Amino acid sequence: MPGRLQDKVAIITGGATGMGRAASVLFAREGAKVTVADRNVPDSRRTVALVGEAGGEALFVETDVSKADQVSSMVEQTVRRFGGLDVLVNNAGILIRTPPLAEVSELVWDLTLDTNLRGVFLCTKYAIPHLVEGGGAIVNVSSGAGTSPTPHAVPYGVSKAGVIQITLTTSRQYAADGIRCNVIVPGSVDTPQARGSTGSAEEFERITSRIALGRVGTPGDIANLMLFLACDESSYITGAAFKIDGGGPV
Amino acid sequence: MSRQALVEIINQAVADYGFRLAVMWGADDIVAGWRLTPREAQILHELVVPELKKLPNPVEPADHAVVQQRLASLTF
Repeated sequence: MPGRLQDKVAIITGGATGMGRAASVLFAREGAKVTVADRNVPDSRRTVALVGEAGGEALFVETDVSKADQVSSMVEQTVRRFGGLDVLVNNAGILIRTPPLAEVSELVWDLTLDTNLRGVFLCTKYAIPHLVEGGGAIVNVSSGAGTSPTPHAVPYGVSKAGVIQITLTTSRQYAADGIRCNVIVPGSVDTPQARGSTGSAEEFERITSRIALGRVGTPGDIANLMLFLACDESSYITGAAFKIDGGGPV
Repeated sequence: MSRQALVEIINQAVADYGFRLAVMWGADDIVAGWRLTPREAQILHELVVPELKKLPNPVEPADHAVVQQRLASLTF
């Protein structure tokens, strides 16, 4: 039985770990050829190996999504290797905790916005000419931090709000070309970044114990939604934001 | 010379996993942003980053000071 992404080609940024790794493996299981784009070489190679173990095919391209030349090259390598591009998942991101806004370092602001927002812009910019050739889907990853105050991570919240906005604009501008663009808004998910950004194992357990559904989200939970938004089952959905947070904290 | 800059980078990278990721996988951006000297850049690349990659995630708050001191000693 053909997979839900049979013979499609997908780029997944931030594919080295967490949600990006889960999506890479799931997409491959569903028949897609996958490019894992990340700066983290050893963990990306592990993702590629996991894709292989799942019977799929993946290409790793070491990529800093904030650098236009690297993004352009990554997209071109993908098209050259797999013959086209159908899906872009803009998943790469970092969360750096910060003090109140007036004390936020400009350098930390730039580091965060460069990866989380400029990265989405660049990957989308360089992917679109190839997506236009056959339609396609863009799945962006925002955060609950993009829709509510984030006193512990000011640049992160701002960047994730920007991801929602770029999704809305992209969806409108390229709908006539058959390109759909949607955004996922995750709550707490058990990823290395989430565990690290809470600062301690105890704090992570405290936060995730308050989730309405009684458990923290898994990378697989998010990958399942990415898959739905990437495949034809969501062919009438564009410009939409999908909260996925287990009902949120109670 | 700003050994202090290196120490600040180390301290934040130990305490904050997101910043640690930025240092581990984007050290050149850190060197440029913090205007590190060639010698400091070499220390960051060759001594600090490999140690950061060995740290647990997260470094528990009770361990911050010890780990920060150990890594700061690399900058001498």
